Amino acid sequence: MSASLEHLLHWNVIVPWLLAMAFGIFVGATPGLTATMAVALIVPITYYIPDPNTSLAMILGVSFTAIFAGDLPATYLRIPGTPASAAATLDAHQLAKQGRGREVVYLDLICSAIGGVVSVIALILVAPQLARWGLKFTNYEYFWLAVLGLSMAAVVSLGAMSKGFLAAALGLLIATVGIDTVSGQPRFTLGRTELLEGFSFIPVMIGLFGLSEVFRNVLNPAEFTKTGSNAGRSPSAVQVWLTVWKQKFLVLRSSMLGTLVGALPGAGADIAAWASYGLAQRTSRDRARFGEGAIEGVIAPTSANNAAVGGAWIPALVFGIPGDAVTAIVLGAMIMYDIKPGPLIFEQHAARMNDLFAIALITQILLLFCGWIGVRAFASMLRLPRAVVMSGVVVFSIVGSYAIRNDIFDVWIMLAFGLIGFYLERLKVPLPPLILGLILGPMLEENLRTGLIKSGGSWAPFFTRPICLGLLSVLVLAALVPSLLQKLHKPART
Amino acid sequence: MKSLALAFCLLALLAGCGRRDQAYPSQAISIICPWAAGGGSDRLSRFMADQLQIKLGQPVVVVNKTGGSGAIGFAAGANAAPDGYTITMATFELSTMHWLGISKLTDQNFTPLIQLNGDAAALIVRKDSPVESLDDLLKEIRANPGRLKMSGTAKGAAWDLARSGFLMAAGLPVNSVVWAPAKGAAPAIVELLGGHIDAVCCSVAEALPQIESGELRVLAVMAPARLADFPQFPTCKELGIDWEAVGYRGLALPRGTPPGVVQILADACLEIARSEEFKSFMKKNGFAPAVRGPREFGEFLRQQDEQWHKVILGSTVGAASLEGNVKSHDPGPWAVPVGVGVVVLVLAALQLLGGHKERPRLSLESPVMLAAGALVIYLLLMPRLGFFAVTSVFAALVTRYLGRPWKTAVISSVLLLGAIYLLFVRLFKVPLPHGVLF
Repeated sequence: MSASLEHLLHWNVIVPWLLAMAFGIFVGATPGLTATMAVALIVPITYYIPDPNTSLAMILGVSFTAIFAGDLPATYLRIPGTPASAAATLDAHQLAKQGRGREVVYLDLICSAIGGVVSVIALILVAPQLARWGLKFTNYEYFWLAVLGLSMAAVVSLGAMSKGFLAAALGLLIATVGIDTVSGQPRFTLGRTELLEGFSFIPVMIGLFGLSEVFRNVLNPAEFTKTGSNAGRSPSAVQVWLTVWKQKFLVLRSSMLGTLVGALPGAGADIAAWASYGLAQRTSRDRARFGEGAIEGVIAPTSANNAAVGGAWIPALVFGIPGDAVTAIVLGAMIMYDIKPGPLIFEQHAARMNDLFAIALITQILLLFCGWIGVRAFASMLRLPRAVVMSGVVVFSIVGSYAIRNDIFDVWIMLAFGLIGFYLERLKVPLPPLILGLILGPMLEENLRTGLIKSGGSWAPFFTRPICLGLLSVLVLAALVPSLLQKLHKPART
Repeated sequence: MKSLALAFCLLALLAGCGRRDQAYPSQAISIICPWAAGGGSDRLSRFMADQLQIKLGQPVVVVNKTGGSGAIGFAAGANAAPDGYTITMATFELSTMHWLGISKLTDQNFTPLIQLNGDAAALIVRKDSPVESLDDLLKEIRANPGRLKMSGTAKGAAWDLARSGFLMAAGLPVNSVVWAPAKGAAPAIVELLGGHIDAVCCSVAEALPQIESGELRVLAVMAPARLADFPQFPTCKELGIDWEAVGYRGLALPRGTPPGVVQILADACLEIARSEEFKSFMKKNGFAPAVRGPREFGEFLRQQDEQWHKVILGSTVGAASLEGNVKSHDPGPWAVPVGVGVVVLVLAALQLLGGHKERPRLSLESPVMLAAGALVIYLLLMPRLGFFAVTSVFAALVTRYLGRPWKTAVISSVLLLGAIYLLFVRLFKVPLPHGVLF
């Protein structure tokens, strides 16, 4: 291990590694360029590098930076690059509006790195056990996990609960467009091939959040010139670390939750971020501030989503089965470098695994450095006149929607959802529950129906399996805990 | 302003004289991949693009046009100009999607170029399964129809149809096995490992790590002959069930491509398929090479079309004729939309009727309608005139409208579009729409 550490910390390795990560930050922070593209592009470059560890370090480096980088446009411009960054459009964006953007992204950066470290430690210590535990989950359990995620609609509806549920239901309805994977039949496609796979997620998000924000600015030019450039003043490093220290239990709890959710083959970073946000809100003394700029609302999802990325490596390495496109590319690259992920990996490649673990850990530390530079570069772009930034947002919204699958149809979708998002917010219908419904809708429906197919139409497995019961009790507790806490805290306050 | 207009005109002129009539190929070729970046079809497309680029001396770019189980990419490929500059990655779905009513396109809309691989479906169980052989499996299904659960893909997708055809060939109704739909082979294998289903139907390559470690067992492969890399697995044919199911990939051109062009490309592709690079690429990725030239690939596509028509017809008719003794317990595709729709209506009605004191009023907000209108005009013009020409004007107008002087507007628009050109077009090879201008 020490020999491999020495080798990894050599300049020959560190420099290309850092460059690759900087590239990952840059791509992840550009709306419309995805983590998948970044990794797909770095893999052929590594073929020219003689040392396989350097190549793996570069590839893993890129894959770990993308989620953090996606939080940058979500925080500043309200354009989430990935579903996992959607939670950052809540409190992080509110805080950025209040001029605390810089502080928030540094906090985000540190929490992301800690989340990453926690998940890698879990990967090193308990990967096979966690992977086996994940196998216990099937459609019945994933159904309740989706319900649990959807119950967060109440948390993120920012006030009017009934409007929050309306928005969530709308999201669920929008998610049913396209071919139904359970029966193979198209739904609501109006005969258009473009709609067969439903609405692409990224154009819908860019429209609902990014473009609707532009519309708001067009309507109220006076207000937005007043706010001016809101990159935020630079906080001292000590200050940010102190905030993290104060919230250390929240950071750790969110990271562990993120790792657990990420380790499930049927759930990912998006649901990890929402679940952890909801849990933080439910157990906070000051729930009312959530959604309007609570620091906890930044810490919880950002720790969890990066931890989920590490967590996703657990089933990927143990079973050799990738959970998403990014993991698939990295697994493909590992095979090229003679590491065969699968049940035999810990026996056949013990030495290489140690290298891999060391790479994953050091990547988290390098993330702090690269992310810091990335934040500075991104924030300096925001110092441009607000009108220029806004026209940049419009152009990137267009290119970003188009580039997802090279189809102009998606730009029309983006425009339509921009208008929908704008008018819904005028009607005071909150958008986060809608996104939640959109993300979790397919998970909810597919698992419910596939579960019923498997059980022969019986609902019993949904209510009798042990993990289902556990998830159900979490649901009930989540509904009760806030009022209990309130009762407990009330005497103390008055 | 004048000098700027001049610059735009010059740019447009430069872009306009791009195409020349020269011997094929004289410009960049694109391969449309109907599947997402990172998947098997994408990796194969990118490998072929790199190799063709070396052979033909022109850039070859992969364009991922995904969606609709491949229908969108196939449509883009079939409707492209038949000049040899647009190649399509043809996959298994080309033979099934028109029978499933997803698309009207068939292999007849294409000129076949080359088949590259053919991965046979396999029937796979867990190591501790009581089912020891294909015979056991069939006995079990006959004894308890509707009890065994299988998975591998979504309903109507490749491996579901493969097992349907298998059951039909064995003289069993298609729903004598419950198909639990999954997003793909990977989640289905996880389900099998967890003991939630009894068998998986997918290619051997997709389950290779588990097969090698002994956690999963292959009962039979649906191949025409034993697999070169795995001669230990019996075929369905030799076990007495006359059935083959192969997921194929190949390249095709739009129908009506001149024979001379087809010949040049076919020769280049066949040369690549004979190379050592091709063999080692296929081996590393676990694809079984199955190379056929234009004519043989065309015949193969016809035969596939017929085979899958029978299976799809049989599985819908067969399911209906079973008189409900093994009926599906799926609540159906409309249960959730209808249920959620009712909830939306009730909640919306409550909002409207509920006597809120300060109910927010909805007005059209003319500046927003203006902005949206501008975007609509932009979107109508952009594909016809070209992305860079229209977007640079549009971005400058937006900045000006938001209160900045023309100078700032023009300079920032030029810089922004320059950055997008370098990033998207040069680095990431995203082909932004180019119309008559640039």
